[in-house]
Amino acid sequence: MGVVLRPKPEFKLVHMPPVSEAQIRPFQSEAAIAANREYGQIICHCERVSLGEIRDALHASIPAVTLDGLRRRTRCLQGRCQGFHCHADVIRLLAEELGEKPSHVIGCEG
Amino acid sequence: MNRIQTQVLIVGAGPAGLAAGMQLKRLGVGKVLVVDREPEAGGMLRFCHHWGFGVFDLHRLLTGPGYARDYVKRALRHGVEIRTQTTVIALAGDRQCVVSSPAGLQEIQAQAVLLATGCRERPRAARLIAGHRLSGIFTTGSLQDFVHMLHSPVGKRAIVVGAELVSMSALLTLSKAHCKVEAILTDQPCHQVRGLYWPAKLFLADLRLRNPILTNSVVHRIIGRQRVEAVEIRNTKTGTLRTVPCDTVVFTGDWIPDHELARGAGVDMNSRTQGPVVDTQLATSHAGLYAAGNLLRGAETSDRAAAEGAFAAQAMHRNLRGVLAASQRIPILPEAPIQWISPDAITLEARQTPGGRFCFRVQTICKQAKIKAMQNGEVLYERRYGFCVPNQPYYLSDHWLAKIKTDKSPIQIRLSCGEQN
Repeated sequence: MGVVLRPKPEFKLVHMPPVSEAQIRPFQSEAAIAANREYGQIICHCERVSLGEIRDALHASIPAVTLDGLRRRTRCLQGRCQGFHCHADVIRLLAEELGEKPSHVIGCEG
Repeated sequence: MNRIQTQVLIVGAGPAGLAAGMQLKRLGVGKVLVVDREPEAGGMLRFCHHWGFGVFDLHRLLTGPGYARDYVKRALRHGVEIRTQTTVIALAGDRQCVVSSPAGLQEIQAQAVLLATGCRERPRAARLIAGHRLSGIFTTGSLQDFVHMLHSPVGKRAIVVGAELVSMSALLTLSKAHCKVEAILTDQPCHQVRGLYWPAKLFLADLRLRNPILTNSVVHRIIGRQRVEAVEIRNTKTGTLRTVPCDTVVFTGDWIPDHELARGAGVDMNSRTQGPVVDTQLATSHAGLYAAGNLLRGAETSDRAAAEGAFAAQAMHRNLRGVLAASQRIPILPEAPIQWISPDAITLEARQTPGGRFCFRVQTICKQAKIKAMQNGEVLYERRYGFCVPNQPYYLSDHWLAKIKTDKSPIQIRLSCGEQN
């Protein structure tokens, strides 16, 4: 009677990266930086988002394709300076990944 | 975690940090380490691609990146060790700090630490302006980064909020990106580019770009769904609203010091400058911890920041040698309409200031302003200033510091306007 529920062996759980300060962030972890130098290369200084985390978000199972998507996944551009220091860097990374011009990422024609 | 010992650690490789490093090396300090979180040393000036730097300190006319390169080159020649992409993630009051870099985590123990972390502009979110989170909203810093690093168009028509010196930088950057400026807004009754910089405003905003400056005006609301479509401007005197179509908004000025490290270390902060309280040696309330440059009170010109760095270096050197260990501090209490005065305390053993002068800002426009420095009602110094506007730097000579009495009573700085006298 009814459907028998069994765990699917091919099911992959989607893991979201730790963005809260409650967990160890990559920039705080020697092991993470040793495994990938990009985790030690901080792009967004207010929220301390490393290049590695931004690349992870761009290549995730559900990748970020807009600036807002990247914001929600990594908290980059969301800190106290709201992109005073890192705005252009983050746009450059996203534009390179999407193969678009930086001006298209911010919705400017031409 | 590997450990590094150094005599002096400087956080921030902008003009203040590098000038301090050079001065320490000249005074014969063995190891001076400068760390910076950016991939390149030089500070914010690396993105100010216009002329006007280095006139007062290097006696040459340089661009921002040229000035930054000059400082980096000279610092390296003096033997200052600069590490980029190195973020200080924790700083304790005992001058021990942890840094994170692509090489991993490191612990640095220094005998003296200079914080020269600079400042940032107040972003749109902190200005509490209504409207959606749209693209096309910049601060001068992010705009300069975007235009000069990505060489990409930003938009067609822009509104610049703020009419002070840094707004002229934004105008230059927008004209480089072929973006027309619809209007410059200021909440004051007049623009705030005065004194030496006034010809720059005349040439740029009035003659070359012909940008109207709307006075007594603030951004009421930003209209649009994805990208900025228009801006509603409110006149603060009459309350009338006016919609100006545009696709880019640039918020300029209104500086906030990047004081997070100083705050984390637990030093006393000044609520007016939003930076750490420093005395006339640029020492903070913690022994061996110094602060210089725009961290103290928001942006001043680069030569002032560099002068403060070199000045702090001399005090640090005296401290390293064990001279002037204990010091007696007297607070300086500025009264409205003075917004802040920097440095904001006086050490009786070192009665001097960087470049021989204090700097201060006013909150409102003051006509026929007269400033008085007083202790216990006794006037130590008095000077006329004429016309003072907000956001414009003003300087106060420090030669009256010799007259201060040692009874620990605070110094009052009072500014009176002509109409009241």
